[in-house]
Amino acid sequence: MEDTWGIPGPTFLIGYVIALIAIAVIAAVNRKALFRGDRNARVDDLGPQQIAYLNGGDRLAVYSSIGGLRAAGVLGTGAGKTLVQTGPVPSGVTPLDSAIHHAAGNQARTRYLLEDQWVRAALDDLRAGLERRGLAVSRDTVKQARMWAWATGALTLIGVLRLFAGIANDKPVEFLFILIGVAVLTTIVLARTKRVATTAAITGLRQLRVQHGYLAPQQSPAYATYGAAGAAMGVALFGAASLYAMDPAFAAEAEIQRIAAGGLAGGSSGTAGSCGSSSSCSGGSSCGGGGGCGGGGGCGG
Amino acid sequence: MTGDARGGDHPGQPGGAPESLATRQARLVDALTSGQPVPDGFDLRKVDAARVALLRKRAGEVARQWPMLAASFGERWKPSFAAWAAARPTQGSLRDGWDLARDLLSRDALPATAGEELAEREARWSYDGASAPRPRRGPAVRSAAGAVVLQIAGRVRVIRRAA
Amino acid sequence: MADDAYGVGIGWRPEISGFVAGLPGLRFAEVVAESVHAHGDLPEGLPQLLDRGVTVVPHGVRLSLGGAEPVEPERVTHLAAVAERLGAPLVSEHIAFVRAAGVEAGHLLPIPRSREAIDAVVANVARTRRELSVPIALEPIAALFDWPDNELSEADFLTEILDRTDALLLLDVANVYANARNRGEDPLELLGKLPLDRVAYVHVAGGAEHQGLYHDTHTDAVPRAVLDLVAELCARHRPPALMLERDGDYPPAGELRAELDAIAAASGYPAIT
Repeated sequence: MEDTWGIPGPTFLIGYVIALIAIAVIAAVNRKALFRGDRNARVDDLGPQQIAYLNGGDRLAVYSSIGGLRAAGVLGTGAGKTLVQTGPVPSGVTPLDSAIHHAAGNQARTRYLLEDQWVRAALDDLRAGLERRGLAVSRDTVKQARMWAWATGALTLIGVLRLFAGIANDKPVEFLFILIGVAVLTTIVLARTKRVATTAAITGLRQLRVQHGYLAPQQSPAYATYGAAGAAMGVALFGAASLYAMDPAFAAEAEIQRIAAGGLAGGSSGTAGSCGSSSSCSGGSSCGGGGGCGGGGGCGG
Repeated sequence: MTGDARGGDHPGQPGGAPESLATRQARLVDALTSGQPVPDGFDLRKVDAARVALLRKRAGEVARQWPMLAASFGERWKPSFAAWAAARPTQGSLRDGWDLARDLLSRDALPATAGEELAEREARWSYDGASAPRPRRGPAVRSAAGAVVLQIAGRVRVIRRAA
Repeated sequence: MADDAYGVGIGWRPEISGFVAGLPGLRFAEVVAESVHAHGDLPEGLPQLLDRGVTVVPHGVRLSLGGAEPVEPERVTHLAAVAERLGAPLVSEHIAFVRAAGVEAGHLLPIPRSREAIDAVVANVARTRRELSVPIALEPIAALFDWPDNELSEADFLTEILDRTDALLLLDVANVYANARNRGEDPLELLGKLPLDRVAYVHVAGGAEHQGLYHDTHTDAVPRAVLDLVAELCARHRPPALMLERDGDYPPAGELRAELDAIAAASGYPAIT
């Protein structure tokens, strides 16, 4: 019996594995370089919406703006889950704030904000600025990174052809089948590459999250004390959960999606977690936290 | 901390003698938390003001722990919680909110926005209704008021949102 | 005395930890003892405060020193461990009870001003002090109601407790004001009878009137009358630290700063904002 294509099975398999690994390694190295960004780029002087974009893309940038406008008292919800203006646009706001406030004047719903032309334009400007600074990954760069899917895709195709030839030749194909599966998975992962922030930006965001740890929703931050900028920054760094911590009724009515941000577990605001797991909460009652000694009561300490 | 300190004569006190401090403190706590009558001699109006203030404080603490539950009541949260909690001494704000949410669910009265919050907690923690909730070890799927939530290895995903 | 004075401080709460961290002149803060783990991580933001050299005092709210039942040993152990972790020079708790016969009241409740109640407090403070390596300061609470069988005046009651326990006094000026107002008494009268030289530090808090009763809410602004009382107290004997106690409905940062400045102005200590 002759070898399929004149290549013995084990030789082909070894070559296939080597090719797969080689492509994966080269792709990884290339992607790392593509996504590196400007190592000297700083995130300290960024506004909340820019940080939000880096942390969670267009949608989180919009949510951060909504958080700031809500904290400033100029945004509310109306009939049919629409946004409404509850005050004039504050001075010194960003173009994205103005665009969202304007859209609220037309009773837009949150989910359609990304389609609003002014909001769109403001987001595009915001992204372009971040790309110039080496903090955001451009769409072209993402496309470039996805090109590697063609290589693994070609490998998949070769594998499939060999698979059919092998079957026709009555050869064992189990190992090849498994390797094709690996190639398909690698192709899918590479083709679906999504990336918003450069590696440099992600490092900076991590520091910002530590620095602004007091804005984490688990702290139940006093957004009134931190002001509109603090509210917007909370959403930017800790995701939509901050909007729910700040104003749950508004967030639900405005159909804010509890998207994950910055590696937070999807959706959970985690308020229960801060309590139940603690061993020091002796007695199980009220678990420290907001208690204090006064609090609405008549018998304060 | 003995149960017998609560009712009637304190052991060791002959009938008719003044009640012990422990008994009287227990009676006062019962009046403030369990809807029992206010012991003799207290200013009824002032004790009632303290009772109401206490319930409002509890409502605020539960709202902190269960923001969606409280938000689903809107303006009526404090009076609604106070009415529910008037004869239920606190088990801590986490469990108080949990008990209320389950109670509402059992009466088909849990608002959709609060359903997701409850389902999330149910998926994350195991709570027997009588002792402190414990984190679940294994994965869990829980639903409440139309929301379905999946928890695997401590991470929670909402599978279906309440309508 | 002035050299080891801390000046104006604030009750540290997780909700406003970012605000507290931004107070440049802060040297004194208080944290609810039950919100601090004895062994796990400290609450977010607190380590940075300690690193700055801010003195952080654990303030217990659930020990129930005024309960007829003995304090629960694990609560005392926890308080002592937290004091050690924070390197605190003292701890504080209330002259109050919070549970009886296993039922939690959910808040600080007054005890009768009787010999029997004093005995209970003295015994519980002694049990607590046995585990503590630092002094304890006791805080008289604001009560909306009194027990019908008070044998002693408030001043005599407090003085006897302090004498017999050898504890320091945590004086809450807002509580003094609230009690006096709700009982129709003069707050200055009580100030005149208390051992002001034993005051470890002072609480200042806001409140509001509902249906004729003044509630010590800690969620409202500090009334002018309370600040006047602070000024009067400091004129007689200025305590080493005075701190703002706010527990909810936190206002914009500017208002909190204004309250801290007002306390500084009333006490004569430098502003910390």
